[in-house]
Amino acid sequence: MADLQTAAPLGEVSEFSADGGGAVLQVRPDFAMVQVFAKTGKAGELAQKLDIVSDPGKAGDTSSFAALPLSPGQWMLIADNANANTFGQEITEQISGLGYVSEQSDARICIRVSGPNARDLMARGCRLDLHPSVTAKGFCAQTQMAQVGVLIHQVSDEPAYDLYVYAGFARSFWHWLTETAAQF
Amino acid sequence: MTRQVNRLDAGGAWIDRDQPLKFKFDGRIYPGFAGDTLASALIANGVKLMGRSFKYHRPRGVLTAGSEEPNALVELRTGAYREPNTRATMVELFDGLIATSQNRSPSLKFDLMAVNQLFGRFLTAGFYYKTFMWPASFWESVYEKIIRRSAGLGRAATAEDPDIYEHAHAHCDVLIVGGGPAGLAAALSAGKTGARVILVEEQPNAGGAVSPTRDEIDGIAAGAWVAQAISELDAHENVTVMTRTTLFGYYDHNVLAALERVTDHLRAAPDHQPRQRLWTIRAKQVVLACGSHERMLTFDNNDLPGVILSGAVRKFAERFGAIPGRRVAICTNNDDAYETAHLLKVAGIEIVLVADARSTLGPAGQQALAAGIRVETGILPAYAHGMQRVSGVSLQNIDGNFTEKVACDLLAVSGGFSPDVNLASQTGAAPVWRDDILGFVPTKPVARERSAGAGNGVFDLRNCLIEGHAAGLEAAKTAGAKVGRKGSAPKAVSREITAPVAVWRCPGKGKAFVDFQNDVTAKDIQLAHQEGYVSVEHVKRYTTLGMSTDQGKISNVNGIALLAKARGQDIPEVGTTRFRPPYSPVAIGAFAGHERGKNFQPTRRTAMHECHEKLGAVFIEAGQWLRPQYYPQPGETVMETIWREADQVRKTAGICDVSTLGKIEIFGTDSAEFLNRLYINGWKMLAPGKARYGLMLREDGHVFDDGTTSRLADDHFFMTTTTANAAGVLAHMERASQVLWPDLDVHFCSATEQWCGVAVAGPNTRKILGNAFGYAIDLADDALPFMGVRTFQWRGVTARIFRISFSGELAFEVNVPWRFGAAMWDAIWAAGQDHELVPYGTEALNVLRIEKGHVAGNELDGRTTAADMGLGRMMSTKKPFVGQKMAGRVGMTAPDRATLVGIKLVQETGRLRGGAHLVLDKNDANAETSLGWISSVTDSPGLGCWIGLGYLKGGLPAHEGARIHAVFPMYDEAVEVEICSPHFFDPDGERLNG
Repeated sequence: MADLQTAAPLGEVSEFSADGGGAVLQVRPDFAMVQVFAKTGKAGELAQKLDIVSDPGKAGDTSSFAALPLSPGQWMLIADNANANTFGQEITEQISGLGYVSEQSDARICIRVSGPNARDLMARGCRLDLHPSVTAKGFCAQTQMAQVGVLIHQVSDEPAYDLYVYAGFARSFWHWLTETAAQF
Repeated sequence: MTRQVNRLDAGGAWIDRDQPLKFKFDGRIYPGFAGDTLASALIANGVKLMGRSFKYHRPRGVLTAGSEEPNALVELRTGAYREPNTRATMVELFDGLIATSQNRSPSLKFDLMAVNQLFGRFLTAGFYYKTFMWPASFWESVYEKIIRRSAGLGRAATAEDPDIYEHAHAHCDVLIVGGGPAGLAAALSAGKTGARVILVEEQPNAGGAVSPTRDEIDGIAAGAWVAQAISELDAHENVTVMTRTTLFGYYDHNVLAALERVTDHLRAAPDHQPRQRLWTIRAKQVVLACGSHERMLTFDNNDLPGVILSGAVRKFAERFGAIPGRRVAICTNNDDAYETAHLLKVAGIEIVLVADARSTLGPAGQQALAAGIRVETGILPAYAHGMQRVSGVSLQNIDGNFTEKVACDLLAVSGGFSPDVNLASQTGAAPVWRDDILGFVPTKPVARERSAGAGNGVFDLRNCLIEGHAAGLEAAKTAGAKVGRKGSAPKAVSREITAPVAVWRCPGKGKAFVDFQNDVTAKDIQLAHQEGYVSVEHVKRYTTLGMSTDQGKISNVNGIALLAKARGQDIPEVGTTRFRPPYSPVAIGAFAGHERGKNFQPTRRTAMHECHEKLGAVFIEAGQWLRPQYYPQPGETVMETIWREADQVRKTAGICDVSTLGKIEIFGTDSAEFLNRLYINGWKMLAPGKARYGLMLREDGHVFDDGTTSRLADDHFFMTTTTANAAGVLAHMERASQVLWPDLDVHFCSATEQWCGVAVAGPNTRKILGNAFGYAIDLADDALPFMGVRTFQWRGVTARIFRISFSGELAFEVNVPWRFGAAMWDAIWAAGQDHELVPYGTEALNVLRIEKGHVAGNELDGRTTAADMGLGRMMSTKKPFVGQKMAGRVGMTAPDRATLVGIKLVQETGRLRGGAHLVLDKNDANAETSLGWISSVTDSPGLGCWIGLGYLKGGLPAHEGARIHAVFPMYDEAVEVEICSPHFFDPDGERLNG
């Protein structure tokens, strides 16, 4: 493991709570993330190998990672409390001959949005319909919020959402999100 | 507290008499109540004069009680919060509100510009077009200034808007627009099906035009029924009622836009609360229950303060207990005004008479007679008397013969009702005329909507409820809800209605206003017709009828009818103009939301941003990215800084953050084939561990982007793009892979943020990097030759190193994952302290690349070909690639195209400028003699003079060594330049090896 000093896109910031208690934002540390691509024609085999499904908009959970389908034959695999180097290597070995792995652990930050007004807060920027009759735990989608590309993963029915945002936009997005969340 | 002279002792469903407020209008303090609007509170205080008209500066009072108000426009609040043109009828009163009249000088009562009235005969339709025709030279210097000073209403705040605005999105099965009886009935029936329902109501309270006391629904007073309906809707989890929300735009695919006035009714917004929220609503089905707008009768002097629409008088009385007069005369062409008469009589107001334009009395008239109200039939208003407020009205019969003059301090007028077809019309459904109701109604829907109630031409309360109920059910069902028991519509008793009579111009020769907001009179419409304007759309623009904040809600039908009359046609033949969003004014701030100032676009920062800050970098916006532009030292000028940075890179070493370059990881057995088809040059023979410069074209054959792409393994490439085109190149690749060649085994994703990078360049580079990375990678020529790529482990971190050079010096680019970016910068910086390492920004980078003749964004301007850049020979003839065919078109390969050259300033003084034109003779410089342009310039420390890159017809073969001129007419500059090779510095590339 590297002994180098690491720096996070949001620096030391780790949490924001709205004064009214309606919304809580948490910066999630220590996840490992890879984007996997099935070789052309091998999507089924690869899914089987990783024990994941490929329903659009529906994340699959295995014991060690969540699999968010991005497009046919493409998933984002996200493992909590995992080492970026080893997780990527494990997946690469598992799908050898069936697909490819791009390391993305550093590409995005993850912000968990929760609290009684989590859905209202999301509606301030997300054009997708997140009504409980439409989305539930496991829902995932790629969209834009506040002009920034966001990968959304609904992690509970309460609801709570994990937002994966490109590292370069982290501060800008956090600024919009906290300014908007403050009203709750 | 002062007595409110025109406030009734009791009544006023919307006000809370236990909450007295104070507000200020034109410097005077008045009392009011919570729940008042500014208009109702002014009325209660006996204020009639509220504004001055747009063109003639005529005194104006309130005309309506709603969002259609054309007259009572005021400036609200002060300082940075000042907002012009707010409609007093839509401003909810709060304690301490400050409003000011506008479009008057020096005061509302005495307005100097009212002199315009004397010139009224000249200020007719098309006045500006006719008057300010010539001389043309006067346009900017004289006319524009005059027009700008006299035009417009109110003053916008000049300070930055301190309010918060935000956007929000909503989805529903059924959207109901309007909370009147039809809208409420629709919401109740749709809500019961379990469908997701949103009801939007513009006012703070639902109920629409229903009379809370005089109407009955389901056996109880309508006011109580409305309250009951709202609490029932609130109890439904699937129903959302949004008040103070104006649905202002109906767009394609049932996307609608609404403005919620979140805190406008408060003195100040609570912390973090937005002033207004702009909603985008995606609805499966829509019910438009928008009600109707009452029209004015067109008679002489009909714009006098105190001449008010009859329905508005009723609303002021019922909602606010405020009546704008004590002695009222009523003129009407329909039954509705009798409701006003009854209401006012009960309130103890003296009714002088009701003048009914119809020749016989219907049941409503009979009832009024029976109640002891004087009713005259076949009578029209002829002239409203009074200076700044109405004092009486002259009446006439339908032939224009004077009958009598009556004294009154309030003239309530009803010219009939226009169904509010605005939103239906926005969807493209052209309204159709109905003679029986004298109004346009929505025609067959184009979008997934239906209309109900008065907005659909149904004015009877019972029928409104029935139609609303049915529309709600139908919308829910069509949206997919399960409709079980249909239930029954709320019940009301029908009234017998006598049809209105068409009176489009009460006889008269004076100023009879059609459009109050734009001072368009009946004569203006006649004039437009005489001058040959045929289309209603043209008449609108020529006369300004139906424009501005009220969008002709009151005036359009009257105007169209007068135009029809002038043309001798029927109203349907003239037709209507198409309504466009917004339905009513929306502040620009609401459209901007969060996206203003520095938040106009999101900002992107690199992993090393704080390292640059520590070194005192000045940042520049490169697209959304912030990049270090230069790192000034104390006492340096900007140019000195840039020269020092560039000079030191050549002499010792420099470090530059190149994280912003687009990075794309490409996988698959067909990756090389894919690149072969994207780039103009070949990729199949590139060995793993090697990088290559690539150029790609757009499909039209012009150069799109360039960058260095490396082969990391047989089936793994790492592409870089320019900072500007990163997203565009990825999209281009997605299209190529998904649409053009789906059979290829190629997969890719952005890695721009996964990896951050630095370029380290200069003779000392090897020493610095060797030390920084603890000699974890062999940087010797044979281990890592020019255009070589290696992956190595640096203290447990996977790093990639590329031996490439943009500066022309010995250089490496090193990438590590984002989280280690700052650590890498710091390590290199520390190692560089003994080797005179300098951080350099985009300016020095630009100097270095121009000295080397490397093309960049200025040269890849979307108009140039590979050959123009001198890269024609890179275009492979052995394979097809995107843009190949189009690049071979005659014009793209013409021999006289301007091609890349170097440009050197040869005179001692002066400078080069980007954008300057290249001409043979500076005394004959024009569009015809221009031979090309300068694209990039720098005052080069390496060469000791100004140099530049540019495009010149004939290029180097025709002009090398020639002395020509670069002219820059904007600054009246012309300098002598020498045309040379663009490779100014180290043309043989010997320095690449250190």
